[in-house]
Amino acid sequence: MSRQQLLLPLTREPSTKLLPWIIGVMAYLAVLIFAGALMLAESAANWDRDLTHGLTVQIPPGDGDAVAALDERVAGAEKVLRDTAGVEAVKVVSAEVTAQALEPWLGSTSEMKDLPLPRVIEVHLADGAKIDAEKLSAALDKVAPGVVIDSNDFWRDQIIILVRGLETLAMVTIGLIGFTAMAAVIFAIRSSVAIQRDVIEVLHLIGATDDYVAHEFQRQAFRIALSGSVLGTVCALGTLLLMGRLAANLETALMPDLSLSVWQSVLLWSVPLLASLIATTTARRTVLNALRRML
Amino acid sequence: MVRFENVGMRYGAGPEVLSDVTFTLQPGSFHFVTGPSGAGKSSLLKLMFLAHRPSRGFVTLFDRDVTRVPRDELPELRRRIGVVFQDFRLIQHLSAFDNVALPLRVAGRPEDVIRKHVTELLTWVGLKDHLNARPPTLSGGQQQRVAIARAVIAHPKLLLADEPTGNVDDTIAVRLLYLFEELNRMGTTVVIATHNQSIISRFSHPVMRLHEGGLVDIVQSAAV
Repeated sequence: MSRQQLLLPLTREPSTKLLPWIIGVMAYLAVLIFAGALMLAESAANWDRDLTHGLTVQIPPGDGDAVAALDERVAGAEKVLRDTAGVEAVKVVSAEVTAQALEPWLGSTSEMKDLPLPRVIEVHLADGAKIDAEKLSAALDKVAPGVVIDSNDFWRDQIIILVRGLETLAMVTIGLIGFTAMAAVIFAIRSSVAIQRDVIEVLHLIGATDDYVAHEFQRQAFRIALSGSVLGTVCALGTLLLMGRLAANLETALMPDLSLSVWQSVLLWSVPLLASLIATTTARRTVLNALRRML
Repeated sequence: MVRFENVGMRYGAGPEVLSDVTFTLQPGSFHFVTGPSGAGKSSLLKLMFLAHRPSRGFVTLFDRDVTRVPRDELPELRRRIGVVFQDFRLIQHLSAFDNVALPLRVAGRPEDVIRKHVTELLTWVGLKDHLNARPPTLSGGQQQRVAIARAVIAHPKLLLADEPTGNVDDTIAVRLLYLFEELNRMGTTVVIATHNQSIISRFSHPVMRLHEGGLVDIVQSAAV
């Protein structure tokens, strides 16, 4: 006995043949965007962890300042900071470390020896501590004129707002991709129901329920969506792997980490699963709506 | 089994194709429906196999008023009816086996039972060597036999056939009528629409004569 044929083949007509490819492309885009959002969230979490509750104090070099004079001002500022209530730890960043941090932009450390670089003091505040920035600035200005205070909290808040905005944008885009995929499924199912109206009528006349007919379509929609979206996901993961390798070769300090953790990779596989479920549900509802108009 | 009371039927806003049709078919009866082309034979059968609702009057099937039966209750009623369509209405991309198996699959019968029964029936109608053939590769007569096998495979309570002998020679036509009689003896109510008077005259069953959408009379076949 030959293998049982599909009763109501969904992708036999030209209008529905492209459906697996459409879903594949949609899944590819959705996975890339979702992966981008996950990496961004990961980077934001890292920045959040690194930028602790604290301050960065910058002491600029004066004109024709001797190194000893700058060190003296740094020491004075350090003392003021240690005496300030709410300060938990104070760390003076050495001139060598500052030079190393600036090396990608300004060249080798030896070339920077003669450049007037500012000195940096990292200040960690106790949890919940509030510092009167104006008062502290005035106190520091007395021992180190021209001092600049940067609040890490301010930068952290700005980054979090930016990341949340980008995450929302990614989710909206994924939603639009999902909506477009649903529209493609609805169009394909409606065309198929219209083309196979005669077969459906025969099925009804021999006692098939709407549920039976809908099941014929929905199981094919599930298979098509699963195969298309799995292919799209595999291609997207391949693209991400390639991007990660290219980014790793750049060795640039500012480049975010483009590699995916295991749990992120697992999470990305929710895209084909979700796409298949959405396609199945959409197919079922579309068929049942169309059949309701038949006797 | 089947009761029509002052039934009228029209397609859309067109003229009535059946007017004031009233009759009752007892369970286990065997009737021919005859009349000239356009008399309303096919329309009468369409009302009986629930492809249409009457525009007026009452149609009762299996003691249910089908003019008002909810749509979701129709499949259960339709499973009790076997239909041989005039144009066969076989599903072209399915094999003869799968076409005949459809009523059993729709009813949720197990696949091993389906395989056994369908093979037996297709063998009986002379299509043992065409189980996997698709309808376009079969002759008109072979397609008709597939259509008949599909109609009777689920042992319907009511069997309706629209010109079932139209594409077969008299020998096969008589053989098919014997099959219908056999089913009738097993309790199936049979209604056969045909204009083949020679076939009607070879069997002794009541004949419903239609003319221009009206039921003229019901007479014994010998009287036709």
